[in-house]
Amino acid sequence: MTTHDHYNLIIIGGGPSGMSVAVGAAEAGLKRILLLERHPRLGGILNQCIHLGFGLSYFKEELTGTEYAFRYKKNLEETCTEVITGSFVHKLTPQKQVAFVCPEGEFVIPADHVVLATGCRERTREMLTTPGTRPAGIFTAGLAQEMVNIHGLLPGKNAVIIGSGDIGLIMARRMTLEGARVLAVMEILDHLSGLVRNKIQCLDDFGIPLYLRHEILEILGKNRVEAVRYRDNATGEVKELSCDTLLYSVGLIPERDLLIDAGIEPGNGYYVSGNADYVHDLVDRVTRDGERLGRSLSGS
Amino acid sequence: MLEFLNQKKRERPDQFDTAGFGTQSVEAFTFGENAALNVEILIIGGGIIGSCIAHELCKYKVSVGLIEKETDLCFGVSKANSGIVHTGFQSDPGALKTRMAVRGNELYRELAEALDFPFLPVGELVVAFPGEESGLDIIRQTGEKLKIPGLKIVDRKWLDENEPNLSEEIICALLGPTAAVINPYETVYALGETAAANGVKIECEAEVGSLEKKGAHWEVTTPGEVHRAGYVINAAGLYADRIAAMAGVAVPRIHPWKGEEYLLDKHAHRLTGRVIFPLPRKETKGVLVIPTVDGNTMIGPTAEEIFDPEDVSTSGRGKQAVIESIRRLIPSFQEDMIIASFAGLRPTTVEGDFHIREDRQGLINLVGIQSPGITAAPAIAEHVVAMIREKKDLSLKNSYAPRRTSIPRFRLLDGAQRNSLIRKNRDFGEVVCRCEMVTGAEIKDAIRRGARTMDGVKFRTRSQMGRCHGSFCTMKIMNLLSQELDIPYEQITKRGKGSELIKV
Amino acid sequence: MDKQKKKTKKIAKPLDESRAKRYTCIVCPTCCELETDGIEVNGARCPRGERFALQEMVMPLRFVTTSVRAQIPEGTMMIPVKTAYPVPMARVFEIMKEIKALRLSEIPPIGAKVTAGSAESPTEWIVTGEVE
Repeated sequence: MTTHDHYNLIIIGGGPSGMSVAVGAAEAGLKRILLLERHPRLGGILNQCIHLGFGLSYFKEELTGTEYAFRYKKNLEETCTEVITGSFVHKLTPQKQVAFVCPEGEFVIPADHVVLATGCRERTREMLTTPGTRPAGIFTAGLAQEMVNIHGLLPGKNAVIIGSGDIGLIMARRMTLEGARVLAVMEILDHLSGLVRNKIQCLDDFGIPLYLRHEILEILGKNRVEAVRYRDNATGEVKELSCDTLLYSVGLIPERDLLIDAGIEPGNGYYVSGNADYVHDLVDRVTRDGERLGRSLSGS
Repeated sequence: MLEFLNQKKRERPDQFDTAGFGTQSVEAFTFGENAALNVEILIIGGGIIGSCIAHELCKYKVSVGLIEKETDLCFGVSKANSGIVHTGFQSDPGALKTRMAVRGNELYRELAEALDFPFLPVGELVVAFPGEESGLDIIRQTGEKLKIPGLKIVDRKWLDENEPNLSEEIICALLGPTAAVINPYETVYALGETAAANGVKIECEAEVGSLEKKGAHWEVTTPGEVHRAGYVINAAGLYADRIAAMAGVAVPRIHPWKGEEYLLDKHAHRLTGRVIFPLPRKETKGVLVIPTVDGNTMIGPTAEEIFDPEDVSTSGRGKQAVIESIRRLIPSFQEDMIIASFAGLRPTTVEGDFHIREDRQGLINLVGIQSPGITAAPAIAEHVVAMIREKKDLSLKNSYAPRRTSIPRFRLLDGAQRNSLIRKNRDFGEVVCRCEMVTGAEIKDAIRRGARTMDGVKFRTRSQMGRCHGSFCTMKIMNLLSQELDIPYEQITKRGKGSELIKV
Repeated sequence: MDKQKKKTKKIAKPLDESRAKRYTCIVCPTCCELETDGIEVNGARCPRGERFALQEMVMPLRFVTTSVRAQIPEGTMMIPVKTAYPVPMARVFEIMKEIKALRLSEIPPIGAKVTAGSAESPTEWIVTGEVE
């Protein structure tokens, strides 16, 4: 399965961060680098980001997420990194052993350095404990993005977006272009969470209203979402809005569960990079941080 | 818990070798292609009670059918439940439900072993704050009268050593070592699969429209079908009073009580090792701390009377009530430990006790089977079969196959066991749900065993139950459902018709 | 870059107030606040921003990104694409309709051109991703 029984560096996650750590480490002269990716292909979340806005800083050109991933993969291919896709890391030990499962079996491989480039996950309705029923039609914005962009499935016809994070804004436009009506983006705070340019080109361009200081109170509907009850916190007024779909875009959580489960703190050969470290606003910065981390690693 | 189950596996090394490769004959339920049943005994309701009765009856030479209005078994009252197998000492010692609970507790161990569903004998503690000692003593005496084994009052020092997260204000507690936790859905599916494998015809999406005595038989209509049966067993949960009314029988009316439960992240580890009860008050057992079989902690339930038997919404009010009650028991509890919440309904009656009677000849009604219904279920099944045997000759089959193996729980196996599974089936090497580490092979197995919906897959495998709530695996599971059932994405539902994920 | 930033920020040009309009630049994440009368632009920290403001006043243009269906023997695949050039905002829905009507019979490589729409007014799209 693997060429060596010990690696200088094992990277968990083959998104932009993991790939850049490998590129940096190869530049620094590391020879035995193993990159483990659980999906069948490299690229991570970039593979579902078909919109523009990537690469202006790193590639000096505005690219889609998919183009960015493609270009950067070329850099990775020039290195000696061994890549195993379809491999799922489930356990780490304080001795820097990485246990993973893939269709060839379960393997436990030791390394001098282990980098978590595991990205982040989205906060969900359950984490907000939004009261109400549990019908079909509630998705995180990222899941909706996967449905629409990768599978060509439009999850609903009349959507309300909860939270004004970038993925939610991007999905407001995507759903609209695909023929859905996005009735509103509701944000509990008094300001936008995502980038202003995304509000302009995703909401304003399509006349989608952004309701600031609006709080979702209850989800209604038995089998499918039928409406949301919400409150305008500026006036205290409570209203209902009929819809069949809710997309949550209420923040991202760095995924460090492998370390937490193992009771390991970063340090002593363990590193966290990219969005698993903190949520970056631009992938270009993830790449630069990752390359820098890779270059700082020593080994032969 | 992980250790416990691993240990169990080691004792029975044959278990994971035979499980889940299609070598055994677990018959799927006859979803979608319902046919008219002509049986000696027809059970209405595929929750824990109906499934337990079906399983008990499948041991006998008698034709049995089970009809369920939802798309799958365990989609009603039983799915949203605390999953506690009580000792039985908390109920009125004279009540039928208490007798049933005490007996049910005894029966569970063997049942769990035979049908291979998780059963964790964690024990329970009823805790007393200053001034509540006498209340505790009353329960202990009740328990002793009921001959519940191992009851013991434990002191502050014992609590410090064994349950360090409990509030320091708690002065003593009553320990009931025979209490346990199960997972209600795995239990119901284990019962249903075994019943089906032993000849019980199970039909879902079969909501009863009418129930009428025609000569010596009962005629039961469901959409498109007319079923005939000598005996009808009404285990319709929240709708049991309505089913009885169709036959012109007045039974106690059901007033649903709603309970909200909150599930904590596995990172919060076990807050307690045992099920923790405050001293019970009149209407309810109070808000509990429940270590689940899956390694999470659950807190709840609330208790609120409602009028809509389909109202399973959660509320801000309920959450606040649970949090406040838990802080009293466990001061270190943090609100951000919560990863999921749900609400369930108890089919409560004013009488309070179980109503299990043959109200008309050949119609046995089970009404008001609320807490401790899960605990009592195996005893209720035994009791109902005894009622039938008083009137009808039932002899045991020689062919009853009492053993069933569960879907392999990949996450709980060691490396050697995992490799052995992967060598036989590469789908075990593909992790679909990353939070709960559920593999493609387990999901396909769940579908083969009858899962037709996202919730059906979830309840059988734990996929989508972790901290990402399915954000990462929903599409993968939809792919598998689409492939295995040969249906388009647009027909995939959360829990049956009307809950399609893709709104067309 | 820094010099330019200071230069363009400091010197506010006199604008014809009766025609002046404000825009937030969407060229890059900096999101400069722009003001233009159609001749001069204030607030832009780069020349692309100036061009954006002038264009926005006359006819807003946008790149459109979406995915197009490819029907191959193995099933349906979604191929990510972007318009080869920015298109008038007013035509976005029409252009979407055209690309959604299109069915590819093979998976084109990244960078390949795909043409949708009528022969008289076709829209060129560029494949932006690999599909495996």
